[in-house]
Amino acid sequence: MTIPFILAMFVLPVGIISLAVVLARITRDDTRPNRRGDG
Amino acid sequence: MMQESASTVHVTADPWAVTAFFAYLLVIIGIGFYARRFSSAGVSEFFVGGRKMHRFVVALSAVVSGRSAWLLLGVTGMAYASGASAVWAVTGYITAEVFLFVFYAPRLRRFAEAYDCVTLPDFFAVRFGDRDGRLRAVLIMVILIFMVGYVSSQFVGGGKAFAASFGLNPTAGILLTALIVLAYTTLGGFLAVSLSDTLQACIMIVALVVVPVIAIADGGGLAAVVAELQTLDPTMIDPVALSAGVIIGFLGIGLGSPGNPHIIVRYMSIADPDQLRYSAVVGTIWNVVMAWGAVFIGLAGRVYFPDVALLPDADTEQLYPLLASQHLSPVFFGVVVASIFAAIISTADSQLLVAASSVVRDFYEKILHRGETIPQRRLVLYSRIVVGLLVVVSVVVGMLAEELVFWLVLFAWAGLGAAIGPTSILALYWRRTTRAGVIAGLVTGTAVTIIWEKTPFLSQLLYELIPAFFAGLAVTVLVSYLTQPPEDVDRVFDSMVAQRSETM
Repeated sequence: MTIPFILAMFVLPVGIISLAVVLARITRDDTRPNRRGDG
Repeated sequence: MMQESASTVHVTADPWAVTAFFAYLLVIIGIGFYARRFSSAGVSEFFVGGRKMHRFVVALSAVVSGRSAWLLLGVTGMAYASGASAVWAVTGYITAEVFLFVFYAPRLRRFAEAYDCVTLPDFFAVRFGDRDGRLRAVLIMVILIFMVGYVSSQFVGGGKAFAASFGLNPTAGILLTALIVLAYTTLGGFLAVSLSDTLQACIMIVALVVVPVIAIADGGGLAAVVAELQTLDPTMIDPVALSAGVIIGFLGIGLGSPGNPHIIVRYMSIADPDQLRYSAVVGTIWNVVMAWGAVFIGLAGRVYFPDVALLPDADTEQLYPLLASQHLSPVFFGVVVASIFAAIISTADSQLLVAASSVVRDFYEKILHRGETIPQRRLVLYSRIVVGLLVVVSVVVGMLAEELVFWLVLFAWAGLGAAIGPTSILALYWRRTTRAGVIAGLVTGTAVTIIWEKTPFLSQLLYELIPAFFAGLAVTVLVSYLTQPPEDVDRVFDSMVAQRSETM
């Protein structure tokens, strides 16, 4: 397996999921009370 | 571009495969009955689920509404033909949808609640103070033309798949596909469509994981399959074997996502806009696993069928069901056939609801009877009738004017993306955007898409969506600068931003 193949088939998909996780975390509104009501 | 594939699967109907397939159909119709009472409450419930949808349901239904048979048959065939470089065809739209979930969707959802918007034209009409209904009318026309073509093509694709999988007459196949969609969409509206989309997303992901895993295992493992591919054709494992123009064109497919209302309306349906961040992660995982599963199917398929002449009709789109039929048990093969229908039906139902909402909510309620109060139950009844009529129109158009349907579908993803994509992004993020700018952008995006595609020199140069999107964007900005924004723009605009201080 070549490095470009590994990058395209394994690193790229993991990278896109990581992007979603990071964006979801940095846009979190910390001022909202959480669902248990203790925030 | 996302919806062109029509399946022509040549397989022998096995009783177990047929049983598994029809069990899936029964569950889908059962969901329609389950959702019937909820969807009868009003147009908001019928067309946008009363904005009470769970974050998981929104994640999956938004993702599969945008993925037709193109993913299962088209991308697998593309990977079979061109190898690992097919990943660029899926990378663009998946990345675009990450940003839509995280940034675009929460603003749209907050606005929808503040002004009781049920449809995308509702959003534009309120945002730009469209009192004479001119902007709404332009949007209705754009949506109806493309959506009826879209739905027709899904029915035709479903009919062909039925015909080839179970030896049914193609016309009967189209009618059966239409009847299934009609049954649960008319009964259960948005809730039924969302719940069935969620189930269909599960069927699709299971099939797109199991088929490549088993095919690669049967081929001696991933290392052996890759080594075999390298021997057959070294470009198969080279992800940048394509020209820069083709790779940019593939990535540009993602520009269509913010303009396709059957995807966008899913974002408006979530119960809590803050939960769209969760939907972003779940939806992205689903999108990635399904897409890379399709690419791995194409790669594994090339090892089993090194020459395209070995595929039925030398058609690369037949690889997926053929590979599944050779490597899976009959019951699971039934699930694979169900996954093709799931892709077709989950797209058709969402498009059908968007088209119906344009007729009932946008035209009948907001233009024809503007300012009048119409009982919600009557509007729901009309919505059900319109869904039925649109199914009939789509079937008739699909059977009598198949060429027209595929001509429309050729432009649908790009046309909607180039018209509604840039205008909706600017409407959400730029206060200075004006109604005249949006109308000019809608017309420009649609016109450039068609002209670019019909000009051989240009269409060979670049996928039409990319120039049309940026032309629509530029014209919207230019005309907005030359005209005045609505007077109450600040009040309307601020409703899109999270009110942090109020939630403390």
